[in-house]
Amino acid sequence: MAGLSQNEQRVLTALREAGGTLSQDDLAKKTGLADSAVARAVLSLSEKQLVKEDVTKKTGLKLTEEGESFASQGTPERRIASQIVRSGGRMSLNDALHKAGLAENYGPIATGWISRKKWGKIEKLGPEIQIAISVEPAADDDEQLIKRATGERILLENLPDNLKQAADRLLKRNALESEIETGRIITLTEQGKSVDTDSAVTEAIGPLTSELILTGEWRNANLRTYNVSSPVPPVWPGKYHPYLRFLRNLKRKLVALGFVEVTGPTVESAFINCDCLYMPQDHPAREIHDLYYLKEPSRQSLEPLKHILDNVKKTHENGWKTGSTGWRYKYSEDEASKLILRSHGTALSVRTLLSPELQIPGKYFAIARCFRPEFLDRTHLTEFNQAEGIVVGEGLNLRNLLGILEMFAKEVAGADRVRFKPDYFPFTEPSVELQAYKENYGWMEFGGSGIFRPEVTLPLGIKVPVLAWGLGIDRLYMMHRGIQDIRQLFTPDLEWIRKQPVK
Amino acid sequence: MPNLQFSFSDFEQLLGKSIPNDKDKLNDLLAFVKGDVESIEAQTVSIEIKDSNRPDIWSVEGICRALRSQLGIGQIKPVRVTAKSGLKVIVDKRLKAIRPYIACAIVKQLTPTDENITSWISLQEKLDLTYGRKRERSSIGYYNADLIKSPLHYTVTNPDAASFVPLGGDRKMSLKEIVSSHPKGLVYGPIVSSFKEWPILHDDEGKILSLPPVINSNDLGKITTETRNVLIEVTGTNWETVHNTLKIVVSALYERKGRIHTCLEKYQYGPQKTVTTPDLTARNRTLQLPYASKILGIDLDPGRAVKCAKKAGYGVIRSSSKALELEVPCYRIDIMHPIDIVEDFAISLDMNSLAPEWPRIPTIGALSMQTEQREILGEIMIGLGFQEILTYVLTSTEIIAEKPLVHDQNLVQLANPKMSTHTTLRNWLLPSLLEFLSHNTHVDYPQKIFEVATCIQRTKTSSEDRVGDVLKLAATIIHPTAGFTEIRASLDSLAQNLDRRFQIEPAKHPSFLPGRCGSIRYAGREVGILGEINPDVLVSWGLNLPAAAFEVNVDPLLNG
Repeated sequence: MAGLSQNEQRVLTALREAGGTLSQDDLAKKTGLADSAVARAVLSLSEKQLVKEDVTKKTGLKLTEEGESFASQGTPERRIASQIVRSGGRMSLNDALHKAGLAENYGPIATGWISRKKWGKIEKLGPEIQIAISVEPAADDDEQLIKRATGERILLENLPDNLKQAADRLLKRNALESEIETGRIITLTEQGKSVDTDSAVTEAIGPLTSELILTGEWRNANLRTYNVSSPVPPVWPGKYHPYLRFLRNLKRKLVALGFVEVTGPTVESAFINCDCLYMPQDHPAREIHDLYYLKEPSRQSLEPLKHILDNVKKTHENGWKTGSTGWRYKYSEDEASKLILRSHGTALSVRTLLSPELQIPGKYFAIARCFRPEFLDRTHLTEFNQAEGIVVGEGLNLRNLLGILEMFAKEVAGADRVRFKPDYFPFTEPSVELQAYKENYGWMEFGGSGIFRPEVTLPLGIKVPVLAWGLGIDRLYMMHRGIQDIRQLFTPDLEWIRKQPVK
Repeated sequence: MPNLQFSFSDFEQLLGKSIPNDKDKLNDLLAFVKGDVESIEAQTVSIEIKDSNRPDIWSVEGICRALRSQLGIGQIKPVRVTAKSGLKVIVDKRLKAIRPYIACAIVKQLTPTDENITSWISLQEKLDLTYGRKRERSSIGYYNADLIKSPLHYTVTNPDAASFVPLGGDRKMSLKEIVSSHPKGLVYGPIVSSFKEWPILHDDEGKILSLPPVINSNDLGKITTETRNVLIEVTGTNWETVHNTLKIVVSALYERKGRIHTCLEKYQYGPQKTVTTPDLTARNRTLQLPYASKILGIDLDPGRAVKCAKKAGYGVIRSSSKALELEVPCYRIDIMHPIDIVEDFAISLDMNSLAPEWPRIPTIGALSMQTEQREILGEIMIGLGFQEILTYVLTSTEIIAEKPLVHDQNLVQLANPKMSTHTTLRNWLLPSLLEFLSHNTHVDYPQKIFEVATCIQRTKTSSEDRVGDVLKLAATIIHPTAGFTEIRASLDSLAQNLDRRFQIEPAKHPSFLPGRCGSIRYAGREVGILGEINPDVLVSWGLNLPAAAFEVNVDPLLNG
């Protein structure tokens, strides 16, 4: 058997010498190894099926302070008996106590045991007690046990019957104390009996040291073989959050398709978030979804947007120069200046169209944190991400919009087939819902899109068609990770995050 | 997005065609009206109509009208008036400042089933709620026309002076009583209760029809299966809304073979002194074919265009190679621009029959600066062994101020929070990280986490009060020997890898342990803070191991 360390060999040898079985403590004594070294060797040997371990419960015995004094000076009855024998075989109790250096209160104890042990005669002459012991008594069971227990712990269960009785007596005399202890009994297996313990005699080495490497000693050293199949403590790397990693991949795909990423403010004016998207201030279409408003500051100056504010206002009221009837109501600049939390990524498309950096033709996208007053449940978050974008250019048409959607479904979602359904948004016309078919998932809604209405583009000074799209990325992520509950996106479960594969 | 229910048999009957009771097939069909089937339970179909600007399809009657023309079932007959009803409405001039407009019609020869009545009430509720802005702009009432004597008087009264049995009630209540105790009164009463005198509608014999817009009378305003002739009345504050609403309702009843009869309203104010309602005249619109072709990306010839128009329910007056002259039905109040007609054409063509074409626009894609920055910071922090986490921007004052022991007067709060846990926009990240750690006390330590995320910062001076995004990076370590040296070493490594030099100066911050807290300065500006977390803060989060953290503003660091 290759790969027995020196410690393992010592353990095997000790077991053989002891007839095949020893307690772990005895093994430590016999081998001279530390307890921990024995435990390691035994674990390794039992993995090799050379030994087996049994757990036993034993009563450990130990001398008390009183017992220790019995061991060093003798029991009170022994000390008195010795004095009497030495003084000619007869003495009064008081004299004997005095000569033996014992206090008076030991009198009844000593006489009690002398008489019970039948060492001599106790005679009462008036007030005086006379003791007669002619020969020194032989050492008795009690004294034998005290001797055995001197300096070590002994096991009650290992004692012969006469000493077990002695232990009972000494426990009652408070010379011994007992404690239940769990012991490990190591026994050689059949395989262990026959193994060749001479095959490796050098000390097995665990970790390599710099010295071993530099001197080349490691070649001659007995390097311990490790159980490479057994488990080790876990380590956790730092890594990207799975959802943010998913978003990074999504961004790369969109960049590969020629889209430029844009960012913008989380807190927006209702003007940018709604009015510029032709969502009327006093009309049900405004309520396509609800908005979070800010308490303080509650409004933002629209001064920097003054050049388009008037266009938007007139478009809402009467269509301005867009060829539209408009929504036909009295537009409120105060309502427009209200601060809200961005409720859809389309707000960023407005920002892009207003940006001096806008290139026509151009393709833009944004992944935006959006907010809506919703209660959290399996399918709703109050805070979520939207991927939104626009394609701006002369001559773009509905078929181009369908082309973009088809590309997204196949490239981004890995869909097998796509189909289109009429959709509704106050800011696009025509509006198209993208449905994607994926094996094992069936048809599902994957995004909304459309061509920005003239009432949206013309007031912003854009005279070419703008194709706008949004993708349901949270649902795509849930499919990607096999998640059923959307709240898992923001899970505070570190263990789950740590265990997610990087993909 | 309106939701509605109808029975499958009623749907088939109105459609004039039998169709399979199957969710997918029905969904395909409802795509024409932007409808989605929510559920089919036995005979009851629940659907959602996505179009929140087309009340003409917010009823099973309207949906079937639209589908019949798409599918070419039967002859398309424009909705029209049969005759005058002779009913007049005299409007009191005192209503001008209260609820100035009223429009009425009588639809005769109806034979309603219970189901029909349910459908009409559902349409009324949807119109009142959305288009009528919770009855403030307009509200609808139905009455048994046979019990009413012309002329009607739309007038005002003292709230204590009039009383009637409200719909569904069993005793007379004064107007005041209705508004203060009736369920509908409690909801809609506030629309009129601030006025000294309230609107009232009664007939020539003094029988009260309703307290607009709160509730109808039980005597006159109850429609049953016995009712044959229904008076529809719409009152409101917006002329156009009131008249449009009436058109939508009578058009739906017309689908139930009702005969529409007009009424006459007489005003002492307003755009017209005498008005005949409803006015079901179609509007004429010209659609330029090159315009439609350009948007659709196909060559739309006049023959195909005419077919599209008819399927979409438009009347075609004349067509040429350049343009179509169309009649837009009166109930299509959503048509604002020719683009709306183009969309109807796209739907009629079936968008799935158009060949998708990836736009051939050569552009060079690029990530935003912010994404690039996040990746740089992410690479360093992850290399240092930190796990990236994701938390909410919306939090509560308890989490960002009370627990960290910070007294911040400039927190940005929501005016209309939905949940007590999401009331405030965070202005720093560390509390989100501590909250995260508090959920993981049973998970293997050491724990090292970081997040690069948006915070909302408020800048308040005497001249301005503004809010804006600030990108921050925060990192926290927690384990039995976590301390200042370790977090400082991580921060130093971050600085070194960003090729920046930070100065750390002693600082005081209530969230950190005194004497073990420093401010991070870069190029003479304070850009962040670091230190060991104050044990009181740890305990408030149920954390019982030492923790240390840093938080820095990304912008001055990477762009400064």
